Parts: sequence; structure tokens; C-alpha cells
Amino acid sequence: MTGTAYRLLDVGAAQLAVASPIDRFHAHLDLVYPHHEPITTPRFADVRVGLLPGSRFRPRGRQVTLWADGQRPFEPYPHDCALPLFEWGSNYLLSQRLNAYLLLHAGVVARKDRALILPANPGAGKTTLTCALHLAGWRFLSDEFGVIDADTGELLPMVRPAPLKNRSIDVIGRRAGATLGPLFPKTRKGDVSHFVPDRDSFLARHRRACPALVVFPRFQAGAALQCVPMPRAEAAMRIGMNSFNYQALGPLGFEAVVALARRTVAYQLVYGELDDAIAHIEALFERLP
Amino acid sequence: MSLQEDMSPGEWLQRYCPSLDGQFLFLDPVSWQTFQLTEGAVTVLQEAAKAIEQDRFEAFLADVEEAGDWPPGLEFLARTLSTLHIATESPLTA
Repeated sequence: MTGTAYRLLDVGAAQLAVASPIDRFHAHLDLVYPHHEPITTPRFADVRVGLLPGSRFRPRGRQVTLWADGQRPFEPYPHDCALPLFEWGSNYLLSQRLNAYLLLHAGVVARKDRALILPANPGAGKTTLTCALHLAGWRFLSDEFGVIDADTGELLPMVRPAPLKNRSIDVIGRRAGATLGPLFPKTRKGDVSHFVPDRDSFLARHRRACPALVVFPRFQAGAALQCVPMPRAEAAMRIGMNSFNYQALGPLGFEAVVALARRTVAYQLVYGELDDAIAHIEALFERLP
Repeated sequence: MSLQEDMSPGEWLQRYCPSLDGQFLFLDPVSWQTFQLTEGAVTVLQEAAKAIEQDRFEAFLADVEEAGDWPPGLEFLARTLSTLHIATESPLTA
């Protein structure tokens, strides 16, 4: 008897394993993880999932289900949306499991291994800004997880495709150097296409960065750029609120967040134009001690 | 890291109520929620911690009530500190 053929993905701070008989899913995976060499030796995976097709005779269209540890934690998706289901589902599972680290809901990019952290609520434009900064020359660490080693305060990369939604697909897609995966129209989160981080960021996925600047971004259509310094105590509170596991980590998470607030400078940024935001962030970064 | 069970209320405040540019953050030892406090509020919690360690928390509560009652929410935080202390003559040991 042979075992299930899991496909292993080493994304930096975590390892993922996925098995599926759906050929189209694997073709999509090749497009959004183009730099990954096949890993043939069995390995531990933080998240191990199966994506299994449902009955082809279902009246309202065939579906795909994500299985993890013998359970189906999510509702099935349409059969041709296996990739978004894998990305969202495995991110959710990572957010529940990776408690060896403080996990912020944040985009992270870096220059010379000094990191800019972009914590934000959903819909604030975090992914769009993270991708645009990456295309402007910053190293891509993550668009979803700010992974912090509480012992050292360093950030670990989690280099995965970034899910762009609706208007952001075109905004990022027409920028020079942007590589996007297939378009998934009309998903539960609207139209989705995954932005592919560059090869250099992928190759640096085990190289940590030191936190230097924290910017809480908020996109507001038509708004003039506003950037306000944030007091450290307020920044620490906001960082904690934008974490997946801050409260679960208790004293460990508290000390990590306080240390992060002490070693960084924080701002709140409202922007209506992406290029204005990038230019302002570049200027803030240049002024750091 | 020390276990929180090993820490007195005063030690807890010293470690988990740091100042960040004049504002204080307090980690509730029971719920692990974080609260942002003023220096004045921290002074009251420090007094409460001393009273708890000296087994005179009930008298301290009465003093605060007499002085015009607690600022909103602060009594709850003081009571969470009392969970870190086992009274030397508690009804259970008497």
C-alpha cells in the first residue's frame, strides 16, 4: 500500500503539506508557488490538509472540501476554487496552531533586514500596500502574518501568495513586475487573484528581519494622505488587538508586544493614493535612527 | 520566565505594568487582557498591591470607598491582583 502523496511547501516560518487528486489545483499551485522545488523526503508539516472533490452529480455544481486532521473545518467551495480554499484554510489553521510565535495580522516587508510591519483589520488595504511596497523594492516577508519570535523580537518570513481582491487585482496587476495567479471570480470574498512574491524573497524565507517601523494603514478612497505618530502604549494596544494569539500567549505575548513597541516607531496612515503612501513610508523609513 | 503563581501582586505590577512614554499597560493576571492606564491609576494599583500583600485588602477597599469610590474599572483590576496572593490567615487555613 502506498501513502498519500502530500506536496510539501516550505514557506519559511511554517511548512505546509497538501494532498489532492485535482489536477487543476496542482496546476494553480505551480503558478502561485513557482519558486518551490519539489520536496521529496517526508517531513513534519505544521498544517497538513487534503482537498477532496465532492460528487460530480451534485445538482448545484461540484464542490471541493478541505480536510485537516480528519475534520472539515470549513464549508465546501466550488470545485474550481480549490486554490483559494487551500490558501484561506491553511492560513486559518496556521493562525490557530503556530503558538510558538506571536502572530500579528499584518503585512511585513523589509529593507536591509529592517522590517516594516503593517498591522490592519480586513479591508484596510494591507495586502495591496504590502504588494506595492514589494514591487517598489522591499523584501516580501508576508502579507498576512507578522511572525515574531518572542525570545529575540525578530520577524520570521512566511512567504506565501497574497490574495488580492476586487479592485486591488487591477491596481497591483498593472504595476511593473507584478505576477498574479489565476483569477477566481465571485468567490465569497469577491474576485480573487493571488500575487506571487519574487524569487529573492522566496530564497530569503529563512532570513529573519528586525522590526524597525510599524504603520497602521487605512485606505480611504479619495482621501488626502494623513500620517500621525502613535504613542507607544497605544501602538502596543493596537498591535495586541491585531494579533491572532496575543491573549492566548498571556505574559509571553504581553512582553513581546511591549518589547516590539519599545524598539519601533509607530504611525497611523490614511491614504487615498498608493504611490503617495509608498513615498511617505519610504521617507519615514529613511528618517529612522 | 517565572510562573505567575510565584509572583506577588507587587512583583506582578513591576513586571506586567510597564511605562511606555508615560502611559502604562497592565496585563490582567486572570483574563490576560491588557489595559492602558494613567500614572494615577497605577499608583492606586500599587497601593492595592501593598494592601493585599499585608492582608489588609478589605480595609483598603473600605478606605477607597470612604475617599470617594474607585475610578471606573480600577476596582476590578485591583481584585485581579488579589488572586496572586494567598492570605496568611485565610478562612480556609484558620
